[in-house]
Amino acid sequence: MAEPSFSVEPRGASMVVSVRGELDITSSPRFDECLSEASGRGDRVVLDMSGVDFMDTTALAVIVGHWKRLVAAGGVFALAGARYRYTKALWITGLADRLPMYDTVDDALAASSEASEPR
Amino acid sequence: MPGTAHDDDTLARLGVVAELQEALLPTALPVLPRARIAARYLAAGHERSAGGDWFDAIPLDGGRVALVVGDVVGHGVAASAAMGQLRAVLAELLAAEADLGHVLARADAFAARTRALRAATLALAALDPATGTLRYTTCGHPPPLVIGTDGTARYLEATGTGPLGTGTPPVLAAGALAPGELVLLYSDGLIERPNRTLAEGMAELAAAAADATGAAGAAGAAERVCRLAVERLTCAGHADDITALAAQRLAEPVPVLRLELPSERPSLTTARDAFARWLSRLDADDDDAGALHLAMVEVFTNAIEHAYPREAPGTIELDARLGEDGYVECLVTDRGTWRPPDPADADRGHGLMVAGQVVDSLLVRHGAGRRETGVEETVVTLRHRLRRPAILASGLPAAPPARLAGPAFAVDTSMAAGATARALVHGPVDITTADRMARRLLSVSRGGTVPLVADLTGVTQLASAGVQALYAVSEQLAAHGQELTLITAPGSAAHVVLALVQLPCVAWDGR
Repeated sequence: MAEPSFSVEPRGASMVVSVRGELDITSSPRFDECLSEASGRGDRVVLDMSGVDFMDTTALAVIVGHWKRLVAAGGVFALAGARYRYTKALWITGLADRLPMYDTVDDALAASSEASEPR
Repeated sequence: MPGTAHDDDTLARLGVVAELQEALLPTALPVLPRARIAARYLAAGHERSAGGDWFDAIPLDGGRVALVVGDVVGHGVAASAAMGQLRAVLAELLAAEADLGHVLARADAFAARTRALRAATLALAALDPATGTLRYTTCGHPPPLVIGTDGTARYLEATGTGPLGTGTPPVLAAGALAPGELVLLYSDGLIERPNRTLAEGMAELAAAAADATGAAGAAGAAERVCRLAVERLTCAGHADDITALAAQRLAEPVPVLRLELPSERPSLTTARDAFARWLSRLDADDDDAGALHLAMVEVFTNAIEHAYPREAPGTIELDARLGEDGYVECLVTDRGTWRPPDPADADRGHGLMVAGQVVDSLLVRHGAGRRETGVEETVVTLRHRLRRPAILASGLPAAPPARLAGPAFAVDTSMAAGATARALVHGPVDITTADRMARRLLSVSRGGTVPLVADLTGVTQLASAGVQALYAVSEQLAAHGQELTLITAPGSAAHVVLALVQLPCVAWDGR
């Protein structure tokens, strides 16, 4: 199994974290660092999962940890492009109904900027 | 038939027949360590021929498998329903009765008592892939074809008895498959060609099948034979249902996997690589392989993280085999002291739950080791039945007629007070949308941990893929002791199909 690749890029007011490849406990530390870097640089994070081919509950725990911390600090955390076939744990644990999930990064960014519009 | 116009009524009837057939035919074939099985089924698009062809591949004890193809006289809904009955009776008899002669005698008697089944034809072959012995019968049905490793094809001798229920009791004959050889059962739709005799049709089938095996003994031969023989013999159109069911006796059984690795994180990568390679040799479906792989990773990771204290690591064993019953059994063993998961670690600890949900069963056993007395060990056993899809296709025209236009597919979900999940399903639930429906239902019911009410009154079509998805969701809920309530409009297609497949539903009368 090749190691997954990560990238952190700003887009608008958000930080987009892109993951390509397979996520398990061997890549947990790097995945965690990546999300920490993103939330260190801004309080809006979009995690692009469209390139994820495998995900287990250790990866899920990393995601949930960052989501909770970001939201508790008043930030926004969203998932984009998660493909059911490769990320079943999200649905089986019911987290897909609690985490904000979008089909594409653009959808997630649009929702995030809508949320910040002055009322 | 090309050029035949179908009116709305005909299409409605054909649609029901096609759905019934699909719901009653096997959609999955067993995957066994010593035999590869494949099937193709093509329903005729002509109203007068739809319904009646059927097939099944039933694992028997001792790694044997019974292959069956039959044809019920008549057409339409009555034929499909009769076919479903015979299939169910035969499967039950094969499971309950060891003597094949008795099974056939009783099936014959059942057909004699059931009007719609009189003169139904049947070809049955019970294969023991370990020894290659074949016991078979042809009841008014053309004989099975055996394709040798040298690419030659020979028909087994027909056993000479008439169709079921006509007073000639079935007779069994013996045959043999050498390692690597293949046996093909088929319906007469595959050998009845316009302007050709039956003998010519059979010769054409033999040639097509022999060509298709190519280098016989290569993996995938059963699949190739079914696919290519059907394609070649139907390229000019077909008036009748077409069924092909093939089994290849493997020259080498699937091997066992056995690994012993240190309880550290890099071992997971080693285990994953080896397991993935092993799974690919099984001819497992992508879904089954994916489920087993995810479950193994969760269980193995759990052992790495929790089996041994950091200062005293140990080893973890991974054992996997494909049993003669078609189940993969995967064992992860450690010799550490079992520690219950830390309740403070609420975000972890989902691993075993997820593993248990994606495979058929997960069992944890702690206790004295099998090999070394006095040493405690924990064994987590995953069991999962492998299935390969049988390809079913309908001869209906590809463009959907106007009557099928209606609400687009959608699932609206909400969480009602009292923590019951609700879902409202609209539109067609077929092979293109069933998966999405299942995901939404699963998610709103929090992985099956809260009860779910699914309102299907807006469903315009419920195909077999939809039925299977509902079964999967109901199993998930049942595993958590939660209830699934399905609501359908009385008299609707969805209501009829669910009643037929015994998924309980509540009729909503509009109040």
